[in-house]
Amino acid sequence: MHDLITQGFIYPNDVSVLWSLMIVLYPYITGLVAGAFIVSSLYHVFGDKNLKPIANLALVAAFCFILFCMTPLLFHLGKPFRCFNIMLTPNIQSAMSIFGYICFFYMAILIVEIWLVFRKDIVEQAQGGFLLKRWSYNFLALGVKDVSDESLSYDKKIIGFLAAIGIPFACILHGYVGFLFGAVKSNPWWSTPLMPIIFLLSAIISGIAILVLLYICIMKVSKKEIDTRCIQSICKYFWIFLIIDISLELLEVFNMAYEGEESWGIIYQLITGKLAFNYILVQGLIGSLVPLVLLGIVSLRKVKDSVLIVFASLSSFLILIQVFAMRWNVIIGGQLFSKSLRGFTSYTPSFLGKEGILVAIILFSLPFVALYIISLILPIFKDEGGSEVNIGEGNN
Amino acid sequence: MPKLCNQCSEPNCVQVCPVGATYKTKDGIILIDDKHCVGCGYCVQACPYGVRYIDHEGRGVADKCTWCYHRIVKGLLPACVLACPVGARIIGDLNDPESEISRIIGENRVAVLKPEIGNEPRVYYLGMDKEVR
Repeated sequence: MHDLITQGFIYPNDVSVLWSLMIVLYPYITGLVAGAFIVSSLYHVFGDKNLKPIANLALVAAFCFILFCMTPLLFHLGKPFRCFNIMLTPNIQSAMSIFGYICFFYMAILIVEIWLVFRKDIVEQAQGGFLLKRWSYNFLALGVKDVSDESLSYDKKIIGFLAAIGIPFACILHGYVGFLFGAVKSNPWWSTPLMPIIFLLSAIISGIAILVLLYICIMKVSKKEIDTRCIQSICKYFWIFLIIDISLELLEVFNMAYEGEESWGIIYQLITGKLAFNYILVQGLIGSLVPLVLLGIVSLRKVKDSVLIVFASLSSFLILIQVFAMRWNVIIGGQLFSKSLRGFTSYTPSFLGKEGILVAIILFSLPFVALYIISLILPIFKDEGGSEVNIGEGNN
Repeated sequence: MPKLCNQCSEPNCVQVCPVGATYKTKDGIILIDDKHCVGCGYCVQACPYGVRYIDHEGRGVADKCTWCYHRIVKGLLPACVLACPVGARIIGDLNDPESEISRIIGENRVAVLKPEIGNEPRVYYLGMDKEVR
């Protein structure tokens, strides 16, 4: 029966997939921002001391990702040089119009918070070294040289405040993306009130995943010891958020199947046909079920440190793929069937071209380049002994 | 069956445009200011009827049928109405109860596409099969 009512035709304008790989990449990167900031806030606001080793990395990583989160959109826009129209003449009825304000405001919160966290180190670096280095750090210090205990204690209060107000803004930054899709009533694959929550939860797990992978890789490359208490602690949060995320995603599809509205015919064909590999295998079995089991093991049982690190790394890697697959399945998947609900189209991204795979790889690499550059300037990893760890350097 | 922009009374393409480039005139026609449009494509995604597109090969902005607004403001008929060899298309002022279109809609069973969406489309079809999407 489902076969009968899903054949027919597609609207002519539905032949080409308009929101392409760039639009998949954009919520992926903003998701990493939101997720990384939430991890930082678990330390700065909720006081989980086990997360201290990655709290500053989380903050700087969030900043590096937000620096480049707009670039996929600029590559997608038909008129990218008019991009500031979104802030100059916003239509406040549109969810997309708030993006510019939220993004810049959130960037400001991150910059100020990072400055406060590293202010003492900046002032110390400004005291010695060659002339250009002293000038640069003096410039970064913005004329504030007081690093007394009282001053640093005041900094901590402001950091806590910024981290606290940053949480709802992180939720809005990524929740609005989910709302952007969830509020499109003409697309039954997108239209659900659960979409903002699903996007936000998958953002959190992707943020945790990238931080775990970054931390483990950087410590391995720098030949520094990995704080396994930190990994153990973050894996528990990781597991809980993953459970909630999977539950909501399954609930959404189950609800659609149960209600069996007219659109279910073509959505069923989409999930079991066009998206079967991506949705069921990549996002479902490999990307969700395997990490669910691995993280459950490390969260509920005491395992050897080597096993913990392997399970955490593998889970993180799979979750990063799962979240990308989820974005793909929602965004591209929603455009693979026509609004006539009577036919499909197809999409294969080009390798070259302004919305191609090569551009996506380059844009996704840029935050990591920025992270490396910032790690040369700020001591993102300062171990208990006070020695710095710069990414890529061995233990001296 | 021919389809065109429905010039909805409650257009969600106007609602979703982030820069206000898509707007409704006082006549009720939905137009696009192509000097302001950024080409994001949100309106294309939002339209339930698939009548909008991004002019990738030309101006890089959104476009659609405008009911030949440039002609109707001069009292001329849209090109499709003129072209129809059997007079199957009629355009008129629904606010005028004496107009031909008000009479036809008042006296006949008419249907619109996707009434359940809530956009209140203003293209009416006489004798449309319920299977038409």
